[in-house]
Amino acid sequence: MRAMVVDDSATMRLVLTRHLGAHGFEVLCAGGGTEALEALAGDWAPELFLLDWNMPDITGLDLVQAVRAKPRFAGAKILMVTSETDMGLMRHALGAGADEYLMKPVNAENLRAKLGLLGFLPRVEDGHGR
Amino acid sequence: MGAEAFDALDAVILAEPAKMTFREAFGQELLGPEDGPAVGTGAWLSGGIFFSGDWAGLLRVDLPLDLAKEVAGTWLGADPRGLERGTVMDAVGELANTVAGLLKPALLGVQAMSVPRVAVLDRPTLVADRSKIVGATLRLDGRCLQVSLWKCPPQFRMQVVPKPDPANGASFRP
Repeated sequence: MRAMVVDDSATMRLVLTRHLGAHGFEVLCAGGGTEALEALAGDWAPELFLLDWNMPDITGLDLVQAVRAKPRFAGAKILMVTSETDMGLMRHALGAGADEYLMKPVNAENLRAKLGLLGFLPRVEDGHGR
Repeated sequence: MGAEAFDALDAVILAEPAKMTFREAFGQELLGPEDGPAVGTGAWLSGGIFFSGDWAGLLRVDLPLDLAKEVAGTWLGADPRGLERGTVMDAVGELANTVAGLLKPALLGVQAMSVPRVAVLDRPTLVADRSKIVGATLRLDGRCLQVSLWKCPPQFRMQVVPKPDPANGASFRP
């Protein structure tokens, strides 16, 4: 499984890479949307994108739209990983083509739960048996 | 709206996002808030996030350097002694970013957050004028850290500036 992590924070790129690597993902990182789009111009095609919202160059929303505009990523899943807690913005991202969102702080457990929801791992039941 | 939103904040409200971040991200429990400013010798790192919208503010998370290194080491699963300064500063910026995101729903009238800036200080932010600054002193393993929210003057407008080189630090200039 291949994943691309796009976040302007080196800390978040390392944290997410570590957690994803523990689940067997091959991870490519980009420090911003421009760098991500340049990397995606090549042959490497991730099945999963983890995108920050608030970045200096291209916003996460713009990046969602750019990824969804490329037919070869039509089957890829997009997970917004963000400190942004405005639900209106998150609905906007989901409407633009993101599949799920994960609000920071990220830990192994909440990321694993989202990977389960996205179909990469067996789903984890929460306390409500869902 | 801006004045009322800011005046409704107190140290307990300010502390909770930091406590949640340490609990969820690191499995650590911050104690506090406690009375009095944060104290400690040596260098401090201050991560800052500007808020904008109906009013403008600046959130700062100040940690002593040794605590900042440990936080970065825990977060990255690495030995803090081997971390480069730029790596530690980036972690402090991301810490401030996470705390700011959790605090934002309590800041009525705020719409946008900046990307983080990190500065090197010789002491924690001085929380003096209570009409303009709300501060919370917290403690981890006997060491202080401080979260503070500054109300920016009405004419303040957040400027987009290039992200500074973390190796050189940054200052908080609107």
